[in-house]
Amino acid sequence: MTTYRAHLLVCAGTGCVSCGAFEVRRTLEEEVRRRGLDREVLVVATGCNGFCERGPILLVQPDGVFYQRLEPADIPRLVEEHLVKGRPVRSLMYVPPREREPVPLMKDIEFFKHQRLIVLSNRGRIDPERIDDYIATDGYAAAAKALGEMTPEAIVAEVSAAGLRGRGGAGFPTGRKWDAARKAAGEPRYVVCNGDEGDPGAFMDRSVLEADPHAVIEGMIIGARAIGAARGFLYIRHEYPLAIARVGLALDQARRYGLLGRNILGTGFDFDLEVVRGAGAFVSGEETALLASIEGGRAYPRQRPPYPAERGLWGKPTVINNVETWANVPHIVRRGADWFAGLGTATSKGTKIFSLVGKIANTGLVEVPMGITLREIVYGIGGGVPGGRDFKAVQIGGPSGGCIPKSMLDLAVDYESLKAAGSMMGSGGMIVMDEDTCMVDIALYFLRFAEEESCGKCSPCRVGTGEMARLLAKITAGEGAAGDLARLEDLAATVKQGSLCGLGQTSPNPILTTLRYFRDEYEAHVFDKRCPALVCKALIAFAIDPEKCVGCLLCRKACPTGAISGELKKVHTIDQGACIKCGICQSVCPAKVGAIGKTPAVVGSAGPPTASPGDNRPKPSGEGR
Amino acid sequence: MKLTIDGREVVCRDGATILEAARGAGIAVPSLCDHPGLEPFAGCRICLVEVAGRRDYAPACATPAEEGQTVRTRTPEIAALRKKILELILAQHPYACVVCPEKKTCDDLKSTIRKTGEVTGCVLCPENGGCELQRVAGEVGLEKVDLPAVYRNFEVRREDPFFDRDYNLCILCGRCIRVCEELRGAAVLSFIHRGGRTEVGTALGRPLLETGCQFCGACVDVCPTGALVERAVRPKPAAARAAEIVCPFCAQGCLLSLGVRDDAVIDATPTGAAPNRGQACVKGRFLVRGAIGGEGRILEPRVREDGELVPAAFDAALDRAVAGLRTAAEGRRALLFPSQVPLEDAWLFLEFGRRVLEAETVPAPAAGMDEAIEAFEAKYGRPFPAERRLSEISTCRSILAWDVDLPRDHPLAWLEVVRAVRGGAGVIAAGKARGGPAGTTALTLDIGAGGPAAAAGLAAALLRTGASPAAGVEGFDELRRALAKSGRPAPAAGRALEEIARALAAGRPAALLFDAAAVRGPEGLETLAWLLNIAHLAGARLFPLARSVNERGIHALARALGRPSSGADFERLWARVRARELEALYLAGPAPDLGELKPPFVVCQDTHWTRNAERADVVLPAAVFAEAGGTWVNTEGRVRTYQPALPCPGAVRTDAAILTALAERMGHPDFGRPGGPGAVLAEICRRVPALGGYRPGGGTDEPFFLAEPGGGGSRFVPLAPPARRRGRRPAAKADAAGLPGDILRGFDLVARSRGYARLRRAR
Repeated sequence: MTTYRAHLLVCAGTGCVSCGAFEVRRTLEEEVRRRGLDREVLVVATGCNGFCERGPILLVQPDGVFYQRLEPADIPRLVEEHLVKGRPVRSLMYVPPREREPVPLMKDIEFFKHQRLIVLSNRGRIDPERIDDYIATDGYAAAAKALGEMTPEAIVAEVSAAGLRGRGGAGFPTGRKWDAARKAAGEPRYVVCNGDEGDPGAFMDRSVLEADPHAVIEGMIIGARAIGAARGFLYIRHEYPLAIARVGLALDQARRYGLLGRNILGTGFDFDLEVVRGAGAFVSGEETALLASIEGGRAYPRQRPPYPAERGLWGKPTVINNVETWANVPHIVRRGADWFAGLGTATSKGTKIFSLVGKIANTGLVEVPMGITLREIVYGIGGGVPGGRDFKAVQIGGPSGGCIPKSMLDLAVDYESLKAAGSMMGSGGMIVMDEDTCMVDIALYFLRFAEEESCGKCSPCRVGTGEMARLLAKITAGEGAAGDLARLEDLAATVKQGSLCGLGQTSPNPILTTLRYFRDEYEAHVFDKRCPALVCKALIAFAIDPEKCVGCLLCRKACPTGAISGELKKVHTIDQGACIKCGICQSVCPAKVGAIGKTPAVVGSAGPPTASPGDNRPKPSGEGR
Repeated sequence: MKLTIDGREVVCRDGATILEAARGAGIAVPSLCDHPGLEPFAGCRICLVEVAGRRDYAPACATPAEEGQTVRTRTPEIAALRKKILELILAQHPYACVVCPEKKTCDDLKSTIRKTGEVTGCVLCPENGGCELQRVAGEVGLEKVDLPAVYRNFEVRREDPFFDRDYNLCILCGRCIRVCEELRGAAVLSFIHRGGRTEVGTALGRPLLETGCQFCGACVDVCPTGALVERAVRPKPAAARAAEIVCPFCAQGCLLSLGVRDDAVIDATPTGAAPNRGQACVKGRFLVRGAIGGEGRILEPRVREDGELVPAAFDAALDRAVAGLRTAAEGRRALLFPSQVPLEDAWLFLEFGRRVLEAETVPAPAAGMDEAIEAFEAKYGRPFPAERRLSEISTCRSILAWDVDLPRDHPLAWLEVVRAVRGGAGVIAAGKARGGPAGTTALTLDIGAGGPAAAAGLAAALLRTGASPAAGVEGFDELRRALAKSGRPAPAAGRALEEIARALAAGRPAALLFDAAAVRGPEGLETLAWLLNIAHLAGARLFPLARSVNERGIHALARALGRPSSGADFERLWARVRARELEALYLAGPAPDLGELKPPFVVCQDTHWTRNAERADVVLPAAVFAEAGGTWVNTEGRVRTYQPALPCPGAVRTDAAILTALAERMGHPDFGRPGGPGAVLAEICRRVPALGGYRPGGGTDEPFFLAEPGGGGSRFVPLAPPARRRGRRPAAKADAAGLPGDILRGFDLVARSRGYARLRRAR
């Protein structure tokens, strides 16, 4: 086996790939070869590091130096300086927000420092397309142990004792699910991996499948052994081509190594897996809908109980777990339930992966121990809100979750506390919002999503989500009436109680939490016809501050409707009747001038009371409030 | 199983849902998407109930009842929730017909007919009054809808025959989709799009005619609203009364309920009783009305004067008929009588032909299947083990459809096949048989030109793949030797055939379904013998299927009277027509166009105008099935009698009345007497052993079946396999009197129904 003095680990997650990681890798390989270093230095493409904001990413080992936002043009210099001369290139390193000095080492970067990697422990470390890399990091040791040394009962007992709960949303105890399936009558049995990750802004499952596909496969082998399944399915949405390709490759390799197929590891256990691709419906992530889709039907959920553990695929006992849940299993079996149960809180064990997106400095994927506070995630790992804006809320759990306000930043993140706060763990999407976010508008966004993605089977969800969206749209348009909030709450209760599946039952959560924590914003829309965050177009106007305007004509040229008039070097004005509030004027107004801003509109009048220069000048947004 | 619902102890069967348990105990739980016989859907959410120990409300339709369960169906919370959910459903349905401030005055005074701003509104809706949505709104107590009505503005689909689809009235309960897939095995409908845009539709929005739809009308019957409605009954008058009849179009014998108002048929819908249990096919559902009250009925007697057919008084017409028939020499008279009539009338026709007319008396169409079986038994000297009960098909584990188009020609047998396949059975489709139900895969067996060679090929493949008969079947060695001795190469391409043989033998018991078309022709009996051998080898049960209505009953009747009917009789009769040997022909059954071959004197007694009626010398208007009533036997041997549902229109008389009047004129005053049809039936039951003990409506709901010959043959027929014919099968020659399913006496379904003609063309 060749030993190298340095490994160049190029992140090849979808985020980095989309900003050119493959090109960077090719250039690196060429450069290394050109300089005759290819016997000393190995270039490896790894799975997602999670710090997608900074891609393409390169980690140089064993030094631990972290390079970011690389371009092929940077590579010759990087190889020359770092690998030939031994001088890390400071200009390609990460500089934290609001600081000037780069942080050279990955382990010192705030984004990575607070994470606790279990499921993602192989990310950025191994080549996900090489099974040998996985095996070299103790891969398949857990499967060998489970198949060779443990009875099915013991496997279930171990997973139960670890306190592992489903990572896909509701947090059902995994061991209990397995036990039910093991005891249920019916043959054959199946295991299924739910990789139909559909929450807006969530990409945990994609990342796990891309970075460590064998961990999921190994988890499923162990699960299959525990319940006596001979066949399993990985249901992955077709929008994840890289994950599908890597899982396919991993399945081929595992079969070649005798880890799938007949007589696995000589234990007499037969098991194989196949990939089923989802066709782009959000509801396919609901377990019964997903099973219907595997069976070849329309992805319609069906009433539970019976749960899939009793009657799942083709009516047979089926364990269906989320990608992240499966990936936890090998760690539990290999390192023991006690170790796993020692992580996290009393009821929520282990770690959880969150995708941190929205108005946050360090966008990316993080794995943190259960019980960490929101503040640690948002400010510690995420680096806080960029652009000098203030944090307002974080939406957790996607369209099924809820918005948690600033006052609850010290909430410890686990299943129970999130639920008590009106939100839910969901699959782990975290969308951070700053003060420029209108909570009514956010609720409308999620309800439109729910309406669009409702499968249409049950009437409360099919019609109710649309009705809620219609009411919210009415409110954001400044047409809200006195009874509308009560009507909204009424509808929300009907849809929550009446809907068939989780998608419908949780669809009102964005409304209910925003009403709970930000009712004043709703009331401002309904009664004052005012959008406090200055987002809702019907309730705002754009205005030019005559004190600041330098008369550069930029906004006049950019305005698509010709609503702006003015001469060179004279103060410009906006004809509110012609303005369509597209905001282009504001974005073209030079930052140092900053003459154009949003202001509350008086509904029913042609423009703001400040249309004429002189009195009551409008303040650009962001300064007030 | 015992549970408590609304404080009452309720007993129900194991596996029942809460909804079934509650309804069984007389506790009304409103629901919209649930339908008996269909899988629970749990989509409308109207039937939500409270189950002790459950956090959320449970849909009663999809929640199994459990021992000791406590269920509450009518708490104030549930009542409020149901109203809210119904409001949401009604937001997408023009709801002025359900809740309307003017409803009371409107009902009383008809103050307005347009309240939703759409023509589908309230009283113009064909379902108004019979709509389940209206009924459920009443049950739920909904008085107002607090949401704006959204008219979805779908174009009403009118391009298909028989019914329109107005999805503006659809509440997406999915019953149509489920009945089409689960019961009918057609699956031509599906939900399309999603969320608020969800609708019911076909693949690529095609007309139903292009999707393989059989137009059985099951979707129309389960639709709770006016979305799917039979076209000719929009807006639908309420039927004043209902009358039950046996469907006259084929041998399945479906029970239909005629909706009647002012002695006119409004519609025909399947009843819930056996054998069809709420299902029908395109003919029973949509063509009955046309066969009774549509165009082309013969409504008055006519006689030929100076070459022209002119209306005549009934007595005058009868006199002319008698005069004409008498002039014909003995031995040069013939009576072709319709086998598509009740037993009573058939008996009268037979008696009239034999005793009064003293003529050759031949039924049309002939009883193909029973005739073939009888001939087989005579030729090979052993009974043919036939299974007649259609419900037995669904207990079989594999289905071999031998050259028979089940959905088209044997719709009830097809429903049982669908049931069998849903229970895990596989389908092997041979010859013109269609595959399995939609969404399933079937093995297809190419039988080339058909006949005994093809059947022998499958038998040989069964032997090669190691199939062996059940214990007690004799003659196995002889069969093996016969096959070996023939030395002919395996008749059909090997591997595919052997795969089929293995599949057939693996799913025991198998059901082997075939009809007269499969055993027609000179080699028919040999084919039957090979089918029997296949059945013994594969452990299959043989299901011979009759095609024409009452063909089994009339065959039994004719045999008991010592004159079994035969297809050859008809051929012989027609040969005499061609040879111009006949002087008088009494034409009452369907026959090919006489054309230039018309005998000198022809009496036509029929229900509808045909080419032959137009050529006849005397035309006598006969009553149709529903006007005559009588006793019918279906393919299972199930016997059913119904009373006349309608009076005869115009000058029309029943066959019995016409024959009796003629016999009287011809010197048989006691013919058909004493008493009415009841006495005739009693006489038939006395004379026909298979009907021994039958009493119509004899105070019991137990169905009566023809007595079948007992003792299934358990012997192979050791035959050498015949040479396989090369090439394609000869173009299917229609039965002498046309396809029995498409001709009912003078009523030609294709000619008289444009919709049916389009459907036939589309297939």
